[in-house]
Amino acid sequence: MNTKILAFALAIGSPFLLADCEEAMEVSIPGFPDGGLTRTGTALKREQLKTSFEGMFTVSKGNSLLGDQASVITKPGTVSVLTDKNAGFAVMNAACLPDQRVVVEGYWQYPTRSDAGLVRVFVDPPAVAQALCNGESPAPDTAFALVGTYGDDNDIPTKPLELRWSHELKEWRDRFFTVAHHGACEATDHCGVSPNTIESIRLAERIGSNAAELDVRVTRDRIPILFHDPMLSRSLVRGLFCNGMVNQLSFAELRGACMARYGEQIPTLDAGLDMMINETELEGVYLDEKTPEGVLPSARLVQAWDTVLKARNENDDPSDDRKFGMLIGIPNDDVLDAWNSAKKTLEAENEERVENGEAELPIPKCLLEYDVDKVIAEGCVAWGPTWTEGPQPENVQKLRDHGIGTIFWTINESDFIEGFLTTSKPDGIITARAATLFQLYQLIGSVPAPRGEQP
Amino acid sequence: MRFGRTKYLGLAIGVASAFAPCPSANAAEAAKSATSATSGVKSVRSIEEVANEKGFLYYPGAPPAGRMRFSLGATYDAIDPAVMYGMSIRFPQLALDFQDSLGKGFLFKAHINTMLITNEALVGVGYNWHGAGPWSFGAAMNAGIFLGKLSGLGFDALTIAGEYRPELTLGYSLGDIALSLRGSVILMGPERARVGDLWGGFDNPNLFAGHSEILYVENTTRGNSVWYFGVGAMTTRAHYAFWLLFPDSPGLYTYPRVVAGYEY
Repeated sequence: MNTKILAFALAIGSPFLLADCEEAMEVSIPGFPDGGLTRTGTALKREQLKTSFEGMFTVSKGNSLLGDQASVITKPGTVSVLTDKNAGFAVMNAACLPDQRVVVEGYWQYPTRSDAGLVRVFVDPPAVAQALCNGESPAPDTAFALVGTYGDDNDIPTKPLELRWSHELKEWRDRFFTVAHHGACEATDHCGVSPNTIESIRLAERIGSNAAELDVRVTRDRIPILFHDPMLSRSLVRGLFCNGMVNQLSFAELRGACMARYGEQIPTLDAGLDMMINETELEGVYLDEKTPEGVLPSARLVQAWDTVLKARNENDDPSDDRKFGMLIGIPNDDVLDAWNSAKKTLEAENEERVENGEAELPIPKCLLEYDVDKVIAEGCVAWGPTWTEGPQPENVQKLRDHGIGTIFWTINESDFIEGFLTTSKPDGIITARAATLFQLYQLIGSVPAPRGEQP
Repeated sequence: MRFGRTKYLGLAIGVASAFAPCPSANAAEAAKSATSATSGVKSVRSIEEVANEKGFLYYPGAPPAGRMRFSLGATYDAIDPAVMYGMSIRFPQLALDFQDSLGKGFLFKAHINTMLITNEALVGVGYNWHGAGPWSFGAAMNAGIFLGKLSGLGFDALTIAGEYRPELTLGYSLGDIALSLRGSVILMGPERARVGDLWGGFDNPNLFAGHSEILYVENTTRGNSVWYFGVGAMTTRAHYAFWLLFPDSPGLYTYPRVVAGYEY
């Protein structure tokens, strides 16, 4: 009997022995120890960054980091270098220094690895830097270069890096959607941000995304939140008492017990939309409704934000105009039923408003992920097929003929991104490798016709 | 990683082991009475006997050349939903094994595990050292193919890869029960995938796809057959656990594996 007891003990003990075996995925984003040179300078204005820095650059030094070509895009306050080499990117700030040089510095990272380091480059030639310091926004030409160094980890950068402006970027804003897959990176990556968080969305924009796909679930008290899994898995959350199913916790309980993997708050959908609309230049969001229960509360929030945007765009102040599209994503028939029910509810509420002399509120638009014919029948504006069925160019064209766009999910591999870009020429792709997709779109992609002008 | 419900699964397996179909004979009894001539009723066979006559699938034995063993079993991986993009459905895999003794401790081995959309087929050779005491040791090198295919349910996809699996096994005999701790390294490559008509490779090919450490318990019976079960940990890249995603992240995930089966 002793042998049985031993076997029994070993059998039940082994899972416990193996507990806490998860590989630590924590990462630290490199930073200059003294805050960098930008701390001593004056930040360049948004329009200067956009006009003077964006373009396709030839990498004449530092090819082992960035490959032979890299795209440079800008966002409020940041200059980003994007490459298809290991989905690499650099996110930097730009400032005019007291000696009339313009420094661009920050960090680079390969998100699928733990490789990262610091970058510090200067605008060349000096005359361009001086013009920027004088508040001008000179258009770049082939003489424009970013010259400096990069390094590994937190080491002061010493390896030479030189990017020379080559040509303008292919049209991408309001044309091709590089859609961030539940934020910037996969859960298994080393980006230092958790999926479906405010921080992740912010990073997504800086590494090449101009739209985001976010996952919506509801808590027990029907608050829509951004979270992917039905369960509070250790891979996604922290918190000793953060356990169980998402829909069994109230929002207060969830907020009190759980943090996302890298310590961020799990955001409400409302907070996510607020942040995207007011703090980013993202052009849209695709809300992947994980449960039927989330559809109506999500649709109400979209309606509310659409109303805010409409008011901003119709007032006399053009400075607060904001174009931002929100789509309710429908992954299956259960959610489709909930969507149709939600639409009826919202339409009935609009009828009441009209009876009361109030203005109707806009009914949100939908994206359907599966059946092509249902996309048309349901009046959705986009199709979001899984990439695992292949490029399906005939279906993409069929929908394009109906004025419906196609956004494939979720392609992370370069070979397949290239294949889909060249075979089916979609309106966008959801990816966790925004830098790779952006760069490949620039190199081999076709620019979709402007929305509203498609046949 | 905290496994949640999977811990209870391990616990249940452990509890079940206490009720496994092995009589209460202890090691000494089993060793001295393989059969009872007076009653004509066979006693449960000892590990020592089986190891030297037909061998085990896991406990390293040294049967004579030509002795073969088949086994039919099931494997269940309690994979973290994060690896599977939140999918909570898990399917057990059917496991088939064959080994043929080449004599002097050398073995030819073949293994298939399948859940239809995911298939692994490996063949290999191994060497077992089985001394006079309870301890034994085995080493093997297996090579084969990893194949995944699914047409339907939103997929028209196929993935194919070479697979290589060196493994070491440390066995300990408890009389009529054998404990074997087997560690394997899972190497894969080259890997290719197809979606629709489009073929491609992965951005971050990495030969090292993971490793596994499983503790197996083998119970002898009155005949030459053996019940086995095991629990342990798989630590693999996500695409080994769930090839349909073709993820390129090199992150390794640990998840429990439970196996059980019958050796003929």
